Amino acid sequence: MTMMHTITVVLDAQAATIQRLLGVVRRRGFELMRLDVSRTCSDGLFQARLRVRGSRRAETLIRQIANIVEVQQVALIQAASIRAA
Amino acid sequence: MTGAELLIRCLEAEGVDTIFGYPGGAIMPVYDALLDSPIRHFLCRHEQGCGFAAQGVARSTGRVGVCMATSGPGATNLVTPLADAFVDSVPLVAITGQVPRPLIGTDAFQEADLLGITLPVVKMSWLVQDADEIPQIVRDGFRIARESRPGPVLIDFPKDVGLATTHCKPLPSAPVIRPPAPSSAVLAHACALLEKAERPVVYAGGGVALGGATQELRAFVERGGLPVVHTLKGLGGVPADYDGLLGMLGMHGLRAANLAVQESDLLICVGARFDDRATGKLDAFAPHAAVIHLDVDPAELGKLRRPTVGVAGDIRPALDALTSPRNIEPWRGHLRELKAAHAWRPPSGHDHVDAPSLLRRLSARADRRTVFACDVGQHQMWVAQHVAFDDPTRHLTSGGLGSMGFGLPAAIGACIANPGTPVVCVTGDGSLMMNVQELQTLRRYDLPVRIILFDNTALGMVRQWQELFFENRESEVDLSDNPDFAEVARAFGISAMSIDRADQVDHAVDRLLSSPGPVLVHARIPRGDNVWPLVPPLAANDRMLDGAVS
Repeated sequence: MTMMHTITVVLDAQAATIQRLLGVVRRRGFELMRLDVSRTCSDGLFQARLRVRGSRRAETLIRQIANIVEVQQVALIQAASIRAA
Repeated sequence: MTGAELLIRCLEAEGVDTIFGYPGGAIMPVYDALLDSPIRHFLCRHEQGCGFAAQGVARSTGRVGVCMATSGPGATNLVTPLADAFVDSVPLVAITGQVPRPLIGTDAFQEADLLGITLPVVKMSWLVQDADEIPQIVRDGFRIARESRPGPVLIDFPKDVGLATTHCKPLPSAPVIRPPAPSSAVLAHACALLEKAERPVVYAGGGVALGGATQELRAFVERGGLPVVHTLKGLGGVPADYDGLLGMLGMHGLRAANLAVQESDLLICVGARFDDRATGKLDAFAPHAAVIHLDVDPAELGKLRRPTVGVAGDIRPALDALTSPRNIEPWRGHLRELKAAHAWRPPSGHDHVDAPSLLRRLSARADRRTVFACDVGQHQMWVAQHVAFDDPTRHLTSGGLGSMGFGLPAAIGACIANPGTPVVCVTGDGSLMMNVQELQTLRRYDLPVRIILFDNTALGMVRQWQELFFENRESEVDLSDNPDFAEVARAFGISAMSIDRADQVDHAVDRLLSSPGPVLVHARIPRGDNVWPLVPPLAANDRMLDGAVS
């Protein structure tokens, strides 16, 4: 069943960090629906909030995101099934 | 000191003694600094050869392999070895030259965005921006490459950073930290499943050796007399003469191994990832079994098969903590009968070279320490089925990516990293030509790699699939215009012989094993020989085809 998931990620603000994050989302079978990113200059971190949809298990995606070296925190904060139109 | 000199000092501090590389414009400062280093550099004849040779070091020793290339095309030629190392969890550090920083993003000569190109196939990567960053990046690179689930990292190194002056010094290598031990509550749950199991099977993968847990696996299976099946990369996890060993599972697995898994009531997966070549149709794989899945990478737990108990963390203490079933003697007896009933039988009534028979002869005659480096295709499966391995580091094979051209350079790396250990490269007429230029590397360094080349004048595995699943409509698999491979080897200064009859096999094996230097045995085999058994695509593993017995 296709689900919509909201995920928050805190990650080091390095050169290719956001590309790495988005690459994992795409490669693991999820579609990006919304992305908000802000960079905090004081601690050199990106704060990202993603809405993604897909039919695979979100828990697995969270673990795959956690494997990105620059990721400091990742959390699945919301999941909802998508109703057929 | 220059940035390039600092980079070399940092590699020395990591204990690097061997690099496989190929020079070029952007990496020239590093090659200049190498001249004053005790690190041995081996010039392969293509950067892909460099990457696979570095893998040969890593896979055969467990140490981090190191390869190097210049910017642009040199660096892009490393992409396949990086992807191969990523999917097989091989610790690798790749250093690539990059155009000077002011030229990055200007479409400069030999500029390619290696950081961007390699993002999906590395654990981590850096574009070095300042020479002062070098010590920390190298230290982190080696730590990340080898820690937890190993893998490749990339250090992209602009030419002007190599020429810049720096006052930094190398950092000491990061200590090796074991992954966290699994929780005792999870292990207790696993033990409860084990103790009531009646038909358990251990499904052991490449993660056993990567986790340094070969001895712990052996102790665990011997405690309970547990039946074991291996993945392609797991071969050698338990020794070939272990009574409960059923062999490789999966698409070209042995019938007894696949049937045991299908009949099991408990599957103990150790460092394997339920990949499609092992499981066949996933929802029909081990359909009656509860699953205990041990893996250092939590992302593998539940990725394809939801475990009954997922054990994340260091598999060594986990294996030590696992208990045994109470009584599985009836199951063991059943599996012994299965194994005997489906044992391989040599073909009879022909005089051509039979590849499985030759490999069995070679396996029986070779020193048990011999490293076998395979290419990809039918011969790769025959090696997995017919060569006996007592240690996973003796079997080098491109498992996940299946990269033709892997075998010869991997054998070169293993030969250099394991002086005195015999190294055999098993290849095919398709695969050898993917990196045939590395025959010159063998000659240049006079490496005693013994090559057995099975030549069926076709891309055999693809031809087999076209025969079985595409109504025998052959499409672009014919290699009947192959060169005379013995003449090719001799042109590189490598001794060679050709055989095409069964009565020549013993002599060829003797020649292969006794040669003091590099040697190639070119074995012509029938074009139509197939690998059996075979689980058809999208079928369950108990639906094996076997043309050898039909």
